[in-house]
Amino acid sequence: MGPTFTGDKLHARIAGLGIYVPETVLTSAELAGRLGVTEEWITSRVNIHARHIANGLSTSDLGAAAAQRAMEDAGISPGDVELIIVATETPDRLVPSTACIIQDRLGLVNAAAFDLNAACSGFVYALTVGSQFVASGACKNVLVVGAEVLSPFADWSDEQTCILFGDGAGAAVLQPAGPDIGILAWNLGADGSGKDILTVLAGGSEMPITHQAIDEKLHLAKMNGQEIFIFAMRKVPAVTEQILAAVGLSIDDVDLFVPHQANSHIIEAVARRLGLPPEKVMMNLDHYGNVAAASIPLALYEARETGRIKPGDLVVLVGFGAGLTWGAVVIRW
Amino acid sequence: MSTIEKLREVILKMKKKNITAANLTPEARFLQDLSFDSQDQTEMLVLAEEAFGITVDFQEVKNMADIAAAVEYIDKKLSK
Repeated sequence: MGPTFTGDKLHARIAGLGIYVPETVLTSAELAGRLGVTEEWITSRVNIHARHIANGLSTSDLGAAAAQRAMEDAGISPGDVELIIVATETPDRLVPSTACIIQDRLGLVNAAAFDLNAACSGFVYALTVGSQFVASGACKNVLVVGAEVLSPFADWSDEQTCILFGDGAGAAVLQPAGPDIGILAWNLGADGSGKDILTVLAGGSEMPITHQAIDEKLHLAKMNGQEIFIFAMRKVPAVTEQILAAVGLSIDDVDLFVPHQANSHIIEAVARRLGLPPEKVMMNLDHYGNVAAASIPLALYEARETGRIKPGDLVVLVGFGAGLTWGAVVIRW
Repeated sequence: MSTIEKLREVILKMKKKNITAANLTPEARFLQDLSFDSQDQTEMLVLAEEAFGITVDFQEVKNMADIAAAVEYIDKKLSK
């Protein structure tokens, strides 16, 4: 078990949430037509019926809109934000950070800004990092954003992977809370020996973009789905049980489990292994697809808006993905 | 508890439609008789890792056809 927090003094709580998804919707029926497969072929594999596509918008466009809504939800002004962390694997540019672009767009003049790349675990990583600035007393308002534009990195001729991905963003405002609510515990981990399981090879310093790299589609995401499934099954239930046990709780205490929305088979298998009934498991990838670092805030927001999270509920967020990385957060709402 | 009895418990936890202890015979074929897809087979093997305290090498189990083959593989891992 990697770094773990089970502090009992000052916590960070989620004081506001916001999401933004681009208007363009690509249904699985339409995608099936392009790929020459049936809609049922897609939905039976991944249970995704539609995904939003940025269609020219960038990660900062989506992230800024979600962050703006989260600030409104928390009732704070741009000048109140002292730190913005953007979790993304699809930044606007290599330099500068997408966080700086959003900081400028929203006028967060008092905020430090940086990006964090932990792939699909990114939002959980960013939430834990942001919560440390709050729990230490350093910050009263931290903006955590998960934003992705995955569509330009999907190989739209590869029906095994392109059916999964979507674009979108979600954001949370973290504020100080008393000892009994907010983020009670977290755990983060990584296993870089799995770096090739899900990767975009070209475009960084290891393999700068060349005509040849593009011809070989090395600038697009490559994924070994079975390895991801094995990793998730081995890691997610164990981490969830360990972090709950670390604060004297068990899976029976959980009101809502919000996993990264990778695919429905992974989520269902993990939930079965944990003994969680479907009503305690948040799933909304049917209309968003897998949106990497944005998937957990998109799911968390929908859970709150549909009354599946109430004050006092115990909520567990678990991210897992490329790196390999994983992270779990236990929240008393 | 024998390996097949324990494996039956693992598979029943997956709550697959139309699968009962009675049809989990050694001869039951994953694909044809149990309607397991590759993800179901992976799920079964990861659950078996935990139940039996073994680590599955997924390269070795690519062509595992039936319950008997799974039992044989698990027993081989347990004897190491």
